[in-house]
Amino acid sequence: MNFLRKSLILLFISTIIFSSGAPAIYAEMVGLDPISAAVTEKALSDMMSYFGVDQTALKETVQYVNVARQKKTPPQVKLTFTPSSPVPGMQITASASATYFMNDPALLYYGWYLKRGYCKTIDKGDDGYNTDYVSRCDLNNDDNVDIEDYKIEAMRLVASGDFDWQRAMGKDAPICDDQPNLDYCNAPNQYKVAKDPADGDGYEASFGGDDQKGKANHCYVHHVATGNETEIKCENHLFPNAPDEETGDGKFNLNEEEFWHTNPNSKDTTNSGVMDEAAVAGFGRNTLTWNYVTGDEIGVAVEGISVESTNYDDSSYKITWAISGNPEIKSEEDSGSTDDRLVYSFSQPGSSYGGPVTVNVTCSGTVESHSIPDGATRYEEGAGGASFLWKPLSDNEAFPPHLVVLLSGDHSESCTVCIAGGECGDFVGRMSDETEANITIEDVNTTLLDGFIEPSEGNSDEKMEVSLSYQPKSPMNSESADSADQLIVQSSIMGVENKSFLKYAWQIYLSSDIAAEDKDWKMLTLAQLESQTGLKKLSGIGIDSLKMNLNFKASLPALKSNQKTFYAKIILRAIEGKKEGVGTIIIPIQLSSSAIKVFSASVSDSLTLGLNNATERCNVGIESAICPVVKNEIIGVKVDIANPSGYDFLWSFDNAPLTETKQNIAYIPILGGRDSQHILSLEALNKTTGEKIILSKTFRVVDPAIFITSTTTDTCAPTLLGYYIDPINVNPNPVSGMTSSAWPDFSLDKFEALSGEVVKIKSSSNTLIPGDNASWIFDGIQVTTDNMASLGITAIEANGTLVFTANKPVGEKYDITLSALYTQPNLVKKALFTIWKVPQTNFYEKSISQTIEIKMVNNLSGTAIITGQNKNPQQKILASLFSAIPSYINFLFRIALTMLLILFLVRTLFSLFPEQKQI
Amino acid sequence: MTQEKAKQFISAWKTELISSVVILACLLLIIFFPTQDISQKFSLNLFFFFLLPILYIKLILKKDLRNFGFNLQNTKIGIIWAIGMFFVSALIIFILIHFFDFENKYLLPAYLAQNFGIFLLYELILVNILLFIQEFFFKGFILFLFSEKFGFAVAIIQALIFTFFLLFTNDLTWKLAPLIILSFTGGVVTYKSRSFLYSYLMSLFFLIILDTYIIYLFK
Repeated sequence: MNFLRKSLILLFISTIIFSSGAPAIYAEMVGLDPISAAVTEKALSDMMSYFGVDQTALKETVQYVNVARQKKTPPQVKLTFTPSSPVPGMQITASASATYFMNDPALLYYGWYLKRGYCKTIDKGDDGYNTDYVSRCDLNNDDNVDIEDYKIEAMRLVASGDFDWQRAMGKDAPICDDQPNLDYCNAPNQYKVAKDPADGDGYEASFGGDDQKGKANHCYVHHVATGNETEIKCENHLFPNAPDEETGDGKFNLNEEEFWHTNPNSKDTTNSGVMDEAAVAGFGRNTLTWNYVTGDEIGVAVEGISVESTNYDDSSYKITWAISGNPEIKSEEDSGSTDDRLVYSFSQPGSSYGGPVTVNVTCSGTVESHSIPDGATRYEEGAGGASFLWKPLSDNEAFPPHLVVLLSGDHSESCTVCIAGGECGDFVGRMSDETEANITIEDVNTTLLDGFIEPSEGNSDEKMEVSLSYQPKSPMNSESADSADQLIVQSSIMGVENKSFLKYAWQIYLSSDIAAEDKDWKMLTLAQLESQTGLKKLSGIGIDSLKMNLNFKASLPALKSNQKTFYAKIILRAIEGKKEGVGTIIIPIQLSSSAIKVFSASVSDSLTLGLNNATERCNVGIESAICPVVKNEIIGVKVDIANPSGYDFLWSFDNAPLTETKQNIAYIPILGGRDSQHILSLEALNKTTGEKIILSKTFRVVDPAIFITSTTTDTCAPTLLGYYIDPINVNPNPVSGMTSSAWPDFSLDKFEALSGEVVKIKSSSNTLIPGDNASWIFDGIQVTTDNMASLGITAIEANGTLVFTANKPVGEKYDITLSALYTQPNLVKKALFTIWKVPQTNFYEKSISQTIEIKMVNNLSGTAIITGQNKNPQQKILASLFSAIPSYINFLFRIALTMLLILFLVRTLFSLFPEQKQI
Repeated sequence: MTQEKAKQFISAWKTELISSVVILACLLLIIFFPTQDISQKFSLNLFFFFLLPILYIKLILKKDLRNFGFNLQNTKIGIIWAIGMFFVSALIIFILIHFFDFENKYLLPAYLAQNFGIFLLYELILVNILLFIQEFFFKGFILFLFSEKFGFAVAIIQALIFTFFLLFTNDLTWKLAPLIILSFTGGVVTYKSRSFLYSYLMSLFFLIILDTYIIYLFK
């Protein structure tokens, strides 16, 4: 509303303003004296004051309106490149995005021009101007390497694509001079023998774009500095031309086909839907792809119509060109001029204004009148027209002739120059400002040289991106091999051509401070790493990851006493030929004293939770990595920290904060189903020093189970099944004749025992089993205190260990089963229900058992092989034969007994049955 | 009356009935007597297929082993029938090879094909002994126990007993085919010649030829 009101006022005021001078002019025209004019002006001024019009603001507004047409955005073109940083030898595509054209972008003419890096401008006679340079760069053979050659270079690519023009040339192909044995060097030249005008691929271009056919042509150039637009004669397009030919004339003969390297037998060489001649004209071709060479520069001039119409009485719009980089179009004629005369341009030739003509120059209210003699073809005042110059026809023959008036340089640019009773001229600038008055299409063509854009060359061919990651998330260092984590640092490298030949060079530094300066990071030698982490190699090909056992010794400088965490900085330098990449990662490593210890929880009668310290769990072997737990048991975890009250603790289980915690101790109910995995996290922050401790532990829910193991492994040991290779862990007691990675694989349910020796076997479980729930079954008979002696069992110790003497002969077996009923103790159930609201229906009982077979032997197989005894094979057979004799004799004895029994029974039957009568 | 007939029947068939019990006991003990290894299995066969029947014949029946085919009388008849049944067996094998792809299904241990010495050991010791034991039990013991009562049919009966025994103790494979064929043809030879030795020799020779031929085919 405000804007509308202002616009209406502006319109009203403009009317008044433009008529404000009318009285004076009118007075002048009709011969009124200045006094009457002054009175009229005062009257208008009073009227404006009456309506409350602020004349200063009004004048300012009018000034904006006056110059508004110079502020509009002209048609423009912007270039983008893919890739943005080209690599020499690789293809690059330039895309032109034209804006503020009235046409559909697909109907514009995109005049590309490409200056190759090896075609920089060299004048004749200068170094480098040789036949090679000429043959590669002077494409139109006019002894000049100029904008035309650059246009040809580009539009050849556009028109021909990847057409094999040399093959089409056959025997006349340039390559056949050096390689006459090529298969097509005997073939006829298609550019000579094809049907002419070959294939109907001519195209007649129209000014302003393909959709402007039939319209009047009015060409304009936009001046960047002034915002003015100058009309120029639409002489010709900016298309490149083959020698003695014209592009866009509707005729595309074989000479042109040959020049442009297009297919003489096809209308559309590139199969893009655009005829060959149209492609040369750049019709709709808004992209150009070529193989980039260092120093290449590219530009484009887009021809089309502006969104601004002309003021001609026809359907025309302003035909114009947008050049990449938006350079200022200069007239060659006026370049470098120091003439500061003011130039006023009229729309008609001087004779149109009738004669004699009076020209009034008004500057700050002062009027200079100049009378032009009738029919004067040129009128000047001052030497050379330095003061005043009347040029009824501009010197620019290319443009419809018009009147130009020049004033001396001492005039103000606010002066107006008007034909008495007629038109006022437009101020176009000073002669030294490179006047826009005499611009021709040739100037536009020359300006293309200012429109080159050089794609920023990248060095992506020499760069690789290296990123590192590590696991576990909270690695733990320990001098004890059992407790130490294995740190795995994995590399990920982008921009590699062939990973097989990528050279890796790792460096490892340690420090107690993550923010230590470079000099304070202690680099570890390979010898140190090998002895403390097992790392054997730090550089070479194929080492894309590092695996190190964190057994750093406390004596290392980086490991200070009482420090819970130290840091490892790992740098990887990856090299592939010229390419190189570097990645760095800093890993916090915890010291094992801060490890999370796992216990079974005890529950008192008052449902107070406590740790069953006698039963630390998950502290050896694979269980230390993933701790097995049973559903519906309560686990207690603890971290040994000196002065726990000085820390803030946050215990989380599967990212949910735990509620039953007491500083460095927490209790967790295991509620997940079988095979589910859960992560316990601890974050502790020292209230004083800000030291952080981050620890985690993984749990896996398993079924409750019990296991039987031998405590007297010298008399009863699990059967050796064979050996397996562990590529990671080295056997501290390597087996003779095998690699240090070979580990014995023992059976879990088959044992061997020395006949006649005392055997002790005990049960263990992955959960607490109430002691009175477990029972032994010995050779199918449940063991009780009453039958122990008869079964040969010496004792059942307090901890449940079964002790017996293996009296069976060699070859015989004991079958021993341990069975139990697993259920949560009542207090645990109460605690789960009361504290964690676990419904009682969740509690369960499960029968669990394990059966082992103990075979009586003379030698324990595992020990016999482990000690490396290498008996003579023959002795072995004999040994087994003799060792087996007792059982065979036993067998024979049984057979003999059976036979005797049968014979006896048969004899008895014969006696009982009546005599057989012989017939 | 019924009781009298039963008594007469039992009286007439006393030896056959009790012998059947012995035969059944032997077969069942072979199958179910616990053994731990090959040597004990071998011993089992020896005791219950050979020793027990001999003891039964000698101690209980008080008869001569020659009456149970342990003789070489009727040489001419034995040889003629052995040769004749040999060709019959060979013809049957030929039909199996021609129509049933027998040579690809009759599996021999690979080491027999690789080592002639082991092949000889296998055929002349292992196969020989086992064959003799089985021939004695089925064609000597069983056949001659019932030959008086059943006549020529006993040759078929003992073959059927042997076949069922094989099928019960082994998976049904083509490897059993030669043994089953020989149990029928060998039974005929034994009945006609009144000696299981001709059948045993014929079977041994046949098995050696067959194994040799199979090895030859695959060489």
